[in-house]
Amino acid sequence: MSKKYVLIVDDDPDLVETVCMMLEAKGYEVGKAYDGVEGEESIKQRRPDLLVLDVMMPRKDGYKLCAQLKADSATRDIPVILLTAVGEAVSTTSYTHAQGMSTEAEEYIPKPVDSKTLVEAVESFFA
Amino acid sequence: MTKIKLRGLKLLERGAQVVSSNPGDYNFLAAGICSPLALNKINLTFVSHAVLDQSGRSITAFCTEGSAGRGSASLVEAHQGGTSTVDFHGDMSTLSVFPHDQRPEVTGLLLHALAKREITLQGIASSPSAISSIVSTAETEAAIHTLFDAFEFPAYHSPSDWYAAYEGKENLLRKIIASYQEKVVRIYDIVQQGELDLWSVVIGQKALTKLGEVLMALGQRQIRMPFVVALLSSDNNLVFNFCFPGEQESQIREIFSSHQGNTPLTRHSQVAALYIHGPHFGDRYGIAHTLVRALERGGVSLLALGCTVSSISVIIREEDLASAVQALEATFQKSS
Repeated sequence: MSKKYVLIVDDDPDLVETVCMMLEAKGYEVGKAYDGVEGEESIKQRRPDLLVLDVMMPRKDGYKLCAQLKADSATRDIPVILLTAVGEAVSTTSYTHAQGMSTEAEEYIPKPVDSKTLVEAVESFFA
Repeated sequence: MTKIKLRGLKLLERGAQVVSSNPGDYNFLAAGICSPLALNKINLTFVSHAVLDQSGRSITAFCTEGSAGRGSASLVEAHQGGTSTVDFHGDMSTLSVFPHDQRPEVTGLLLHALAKREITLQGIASSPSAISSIVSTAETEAAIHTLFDAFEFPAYHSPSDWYAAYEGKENLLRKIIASYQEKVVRIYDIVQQGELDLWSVVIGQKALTKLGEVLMALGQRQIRMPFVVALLSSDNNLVFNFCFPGEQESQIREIFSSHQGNTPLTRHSQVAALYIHGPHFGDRYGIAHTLVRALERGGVSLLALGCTVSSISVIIREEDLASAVQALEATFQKSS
């Protein structure tokens, strides 16, 4: 059976590296992208089985990319986990929960996300 | 020279760098530097530390926001009671390229490129993904152009493309992070890597081209370099610490001696690396202090440390690995 392919898109390169190591250890194949535009291009080249997507990124933020994917019939059914720092701990931001909920992502995980929660969330899509 | 394809470039501008040459005391980093800075809520955006000899004499370099630089230097001076030398360098930038994927040629090409343009390197530290270099703000624009000459960043055709995409991003993050500080510091994970050797070499700025060639030659042999720091000593030499797999000692010696001649090279065998990555580590005060205090309590002496982007990498003796992990797990909140 071929490995499930998870694409992680986040502009924190150390987070990408850590999540990549965790998911590879669980048997997933992992792609990396470091902003929304790069994530979009990566999806065009190879469709992921699951997308882990940060919100605040240069060039194109996670909300915009998620909304765009969900509006396109070719990519609508790619499951998306949004990693959002728009939580209780953050009081000063131009991003809002309302924006997030309107993107129709399958899962929202507030940052800081612990590795166990993220891996469990990824695994729940393939159970 | 062939360009290396990377994915990203980050810039932190208008910082300040403080370099402290410390007395023979393995705990000086915790007590003499990190503790007073944390108590004064000073965020360190970059830290590098290297032990110079068996007495524990060391050099530590750290960066803060520009406005906190002079005050930080004074705090460290006040705590060391005349036992060390503290140098202040204002108006510094941190440039980080990623991912390096433990390829020494990435650092090699970076050194080579900066030296070619005669840009003064003030320091280096690695994270699991990135290589960060410190240059003066006056030389930052030239350094960015140099990086675009040396590396290919597919997302950006030119430095101006990159500037356009990056504008405002750091300011937005800083606003957000300012409101976020937990009681127990959360981390994503602690990653261990053993069976390494820690190598050290001291060189002048003019020798950076040669050192760059050494690292590129190591890369051609597929040798991995998971850790690097470089610190500017008070006599303006750069103290480099690198980690390589222990099993590749003879190849490393051969390549160094063929490029560097008789430059003294020292090796500390059987060391391990620990990488601790947490949310917004680069944007909050007290994280490095929490880590070095935890290791001190666990009886673990640091041999080298690099703190940049959102990770801290520490090099310790391999025999201390279990104690170090235990001490860190007891201090930080980790759920897996």
